[in-house]
Amino acid sequence: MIEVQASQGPEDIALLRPQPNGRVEHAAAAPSLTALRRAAERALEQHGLPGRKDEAWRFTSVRGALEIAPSAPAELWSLERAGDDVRAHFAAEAFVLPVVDGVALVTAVDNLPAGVQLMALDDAHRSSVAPDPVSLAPERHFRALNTARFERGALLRIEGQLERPVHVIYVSTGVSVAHAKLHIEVVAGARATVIEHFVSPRKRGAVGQGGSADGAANVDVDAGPSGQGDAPPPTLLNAVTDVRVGPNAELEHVRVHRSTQLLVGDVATELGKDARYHSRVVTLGGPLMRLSLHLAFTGKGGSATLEGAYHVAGRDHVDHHTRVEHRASHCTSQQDYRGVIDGHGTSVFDGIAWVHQNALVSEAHQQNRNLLLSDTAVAHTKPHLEIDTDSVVASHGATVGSIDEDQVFYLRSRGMRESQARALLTFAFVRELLQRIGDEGTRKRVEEAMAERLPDGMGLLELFGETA
Amino acid sequence: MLKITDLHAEVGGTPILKGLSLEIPSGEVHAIMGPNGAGKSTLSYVLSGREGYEVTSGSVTLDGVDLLALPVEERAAAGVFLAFQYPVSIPGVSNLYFMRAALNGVRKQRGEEELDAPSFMRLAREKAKLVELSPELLKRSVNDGFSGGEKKRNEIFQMALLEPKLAILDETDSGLDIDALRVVSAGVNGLRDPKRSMLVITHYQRLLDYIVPDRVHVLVDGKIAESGGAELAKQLERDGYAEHRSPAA
Ligand SMILES: Nc1ncnc2c1ncn2[C@@H]1O[C@H](COP(=O)(O)OP(=O)(O)OP(=O)(O)O)[C@@H](O)[C@H]1O
Ligand SMILES: [Mg+2]
Repeated sequence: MIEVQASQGPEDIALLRPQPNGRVEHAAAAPSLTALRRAAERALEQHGLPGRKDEAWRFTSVRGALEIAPSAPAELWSLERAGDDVRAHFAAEAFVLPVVDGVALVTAVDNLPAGVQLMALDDAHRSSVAPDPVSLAPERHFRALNTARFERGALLRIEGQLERPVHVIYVSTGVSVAHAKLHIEVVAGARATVIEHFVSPRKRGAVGQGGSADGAANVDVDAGPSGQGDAPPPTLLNAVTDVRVGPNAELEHVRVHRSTQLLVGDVATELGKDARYHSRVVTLGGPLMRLSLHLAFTGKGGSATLEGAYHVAGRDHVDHHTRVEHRASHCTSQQDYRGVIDGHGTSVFDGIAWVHQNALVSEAHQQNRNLLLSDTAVAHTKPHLEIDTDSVVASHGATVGSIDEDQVFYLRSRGMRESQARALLTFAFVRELLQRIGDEGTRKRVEEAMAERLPDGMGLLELFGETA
Repeated sequence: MLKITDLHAEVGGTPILKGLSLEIPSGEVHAIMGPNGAGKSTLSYVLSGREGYEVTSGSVTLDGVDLLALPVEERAAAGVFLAFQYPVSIPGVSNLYFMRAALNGVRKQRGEEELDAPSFMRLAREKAKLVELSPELLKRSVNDGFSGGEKKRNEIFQMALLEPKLAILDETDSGLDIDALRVVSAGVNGLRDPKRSMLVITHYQRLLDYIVPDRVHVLVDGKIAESGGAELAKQLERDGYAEHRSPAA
């Protein structure tokens, strides 16, 4: 295998090859969007894609992703058919935006209440609601690649109080590389929940794994051959989500990663005065899940909670990078990332809370806890604080440990089987974060899915008084 | 009845129990007293099967069942219950759900039917009253943020639910205020039963005013140094363990 170097020339990297019969070049794009794409191309030429020598990618190899050459896009009708399947599966939900092969099917959503706008990014760029690019995350590496190559992104703009969540479902027809782009804008005083679901391609029923409340049949988003035994070639989803939460607005932003795809995600969030933001990320394995979360307080009085619960097994690799910037005073940030690592799994957490000089009376907390279930499981963790002012309450901490044997003994001494005791303790460790998900259906599904992944996890939910 | 014969046990290669023999007939309450480090908690762990406590010789039977051959949870099913000297807290696991799982685990192993949620709730409320454990504590995570006294009440509550054949109470009185001591003792007395043996480990004679033992044993350096009636505890309270310590110690 070739060793990929940082800043390797574009011609060497399969991922950078143009997509055969790609649609992006043909689109008569809005001029402002075209300008962004050009700038991104230049950034790509200059910086290429990350390698091990980039500090932020030291523990996460993207070599597998770089070796994937883009395949020809699927026909539009086949994307729409997959979108219909997604909608049928999530029929019980009010608002569902299917994103198939990175293409946001904005026209598939027809019942939006007043105050919610959903449009193709290209259209947004032509109109008066063109999103200001959230500029805090550098337009580089996978983010630059995303901007240069995404086909049809979406702008979701919310005014008023949205009582039911908007579900964004990322699926794939099996195309080797997809780039998705989503802008979420919650305007002043508005409130919403947006839930991004990343599900597996190429597997019957993948979309609906974990069951659905309405008992709808599982959908088939499979476009290519799939059979037991022949592992499908790896595919990459490169998803960028930019978020702006306006003054006194609130957003609960949930992400559920439950995919066999390689996932590279980048979320950049700007919070206005007194804005509230809750990021809740649940990751249930995956060959590669890399999420970069970049958040900035730009007005006084904002608060943000960033939470991640993950289960990593087999040869899964899960990597959270966070960067929280206190650029204004009287803001509070809380980061709490917790994971269970089994088998040969690896987790990476690299988080920074940076309190700028002018950010008086700030509060920044950061915590990463890892529970290792096997001798071959690995956790790299590096929470850190950078504080350029005095009036700050801050804390950071990290733990990497195994199950507390005193607790196991206590449970067993009351008659609980050892394997059940271990499963219970493991689940309790991450469940607290899952429980904070506001949407009941999603919360139940991820709790169930998490429990099922644990050794001897069946029937666990019942122990917690929840009927599976 | 519990029968311990010439028990030797080590922790981390260090012999702690050195030829301990003890019989507690069904229906009796025996107290064990003894200086710090004598091996009282070690005995309770050996009886309940904790890992790291290695029995090198001797035997332990409960109603004829060889306890030493069983893993921890099967001993619980066979009727062993340990009220911990330091109860462990388990954040994120509700006391009630845990105890329902535990009780049903034990019932299943005994070949009894599992209790459904409503019947369990009724039972739990009834047993909680016994030790005046507030219903609010039932819902909280196991021992998480409980005060010292609340933890001890919770131990007796669990014991009442599991209805063991052998109850081992390791310093259940420590950390209890005077009223709580009375309540917990009353709870324990309420659980006295012709089919149940109890082993009460304590440092203080005061507890034995409430829970009057049939026998009192003095455990020193891994062995029973002396046994007697309830009056032995009063004598120890007065004189200490001086005459029991080996000259070398
Ligand atoms: N894990 C261990 N490794 C080594 N020695 C141990 C271990 N656990 C206990 N011991 C030792 O075994 C001896 C008996 O301890 P144990 O806790 O049984 O005493 P105890 O009689 O319950 O004392 P106390 O009255 O203070 O509760 C002590 O000397 C203690 O240090
Ligand atoms: Mg002790």
